[in-house]
Amino acid sequence: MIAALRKEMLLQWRTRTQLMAVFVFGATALLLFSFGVGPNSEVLRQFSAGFLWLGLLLSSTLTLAESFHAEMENRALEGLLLLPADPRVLYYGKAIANWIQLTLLGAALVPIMVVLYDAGTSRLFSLLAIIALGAAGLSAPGTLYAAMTAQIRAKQTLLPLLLFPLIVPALLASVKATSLLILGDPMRTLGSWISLLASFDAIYWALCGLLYGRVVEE
Amino acid sequence: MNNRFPRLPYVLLAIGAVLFLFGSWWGLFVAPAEVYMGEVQRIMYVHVPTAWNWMLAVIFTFISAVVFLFTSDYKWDARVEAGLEVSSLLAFLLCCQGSIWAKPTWGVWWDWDPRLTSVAVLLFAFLGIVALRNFVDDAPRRAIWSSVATIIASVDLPIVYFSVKWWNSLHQPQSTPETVSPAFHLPLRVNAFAILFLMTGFIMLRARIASMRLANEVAPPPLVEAGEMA
Amino acid sequence: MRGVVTGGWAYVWSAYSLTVTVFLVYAITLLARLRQERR
Repeated sequence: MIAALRKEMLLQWRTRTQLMAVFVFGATALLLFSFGVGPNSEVLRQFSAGFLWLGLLLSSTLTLAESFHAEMENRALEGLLLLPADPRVLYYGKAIANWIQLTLLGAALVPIMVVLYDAGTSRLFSLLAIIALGAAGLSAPGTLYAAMTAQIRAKQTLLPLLLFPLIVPALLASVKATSLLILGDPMRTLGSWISLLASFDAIYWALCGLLYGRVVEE
Repeated sequence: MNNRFPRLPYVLLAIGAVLFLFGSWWGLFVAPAEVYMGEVQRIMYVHVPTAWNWMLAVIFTFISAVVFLFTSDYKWDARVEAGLEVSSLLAFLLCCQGSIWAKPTWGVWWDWDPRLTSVAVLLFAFLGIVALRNFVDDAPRRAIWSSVATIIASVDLPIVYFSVKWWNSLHQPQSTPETVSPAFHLPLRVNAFAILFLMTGFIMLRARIASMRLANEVAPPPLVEAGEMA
Repeated sequence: MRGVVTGGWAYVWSAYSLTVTVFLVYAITLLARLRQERR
């Protein structure tokens, strides 16, 4: 398991320029959102959490698809199946690597959000926790669907098409939680949103791992 | 497929159509108008039965997907294919009926009602799986993947419902259509069975089409008739 | 909003006719596809 994870992280390190490019994509998306809304600081601040998470979601379609690119290039996917490793181990290795990548991306986009939308919070640790939980919600099903769509023709369209309806609860909860941190939480509902997000993560990390074996079998 | 009774789906469709005519006639002309909502409430006689049957269709599709993963019997994959399409059809109808109901009632076409919003999310999810099926040519892979995706999407449905319900409740107090008094029960029940028969007939026919298509895929009929020049 | 909704038959008719039309059209497409597969 550690070996699988190490391999993934090594792969990601080698292709870190791609991560930079995705970051720029995400930052550009955040910029475009403000152009879409107009230079109204109040409104921008209100929706800053939504913009951050939409930007991260859009970026995730790029990074998730990338994560199987290496395997597809060298037809390594089948080669890995010959190893005496449980496919589930491979899945979790990739999912964790994707998770770390998305969390880093999310954290990197926070300063952009702060600057563009005048939306900051002093509870940085909580913000990082929410980003981590939200990223986990994206990466579990995202890695599964990336494995599927990597092997077929219309991969770029199908991955978002399949993933977006699915992660609606994670998106809602992440945006709501982030929003509460930025705009204030008078009714102390933050805990409940985090529980919702955590439950979503738990369910999907278990379910997708369970089903992954069937997805890559020959 | 169940070809012991090849005419069965047609019988079901016929019964369903008749029941639907009766139930709708009753709901439109015989049942009294509701106190607050007036005539618009009559939409419920078609909306609520569609909703109940949509739920059944989704459960059917989910169970078919699970059974397929366990048995690898393509009969169940045909049922998944049929279930996906018919569920999407019903979901689409629900969203339209809901919008038509919402406009005179709330003044907007869409009021983020948690139930309808969940239907919309699942509609998109199922349509995505249908798209996935269209892009995978390899039959076993197509079947396994769509079953996996169906399970994942179906499990998500209650989660989506609760998260939207909660998300919305913070903005507006939830009000559901009033619990229906006995005067309205008959048209509801008749139409519920009507749509049930229609839906079952549709699923059976669609599953038949899926099985036939698979059979044609695996052993395509000869393109050139014997005796013709190629 | 707790008033009385007046009128609205147009909405009722459109809901019912939409439903009937969708069912009919779908049934026809099914029959057409069945015929196509039989050939």
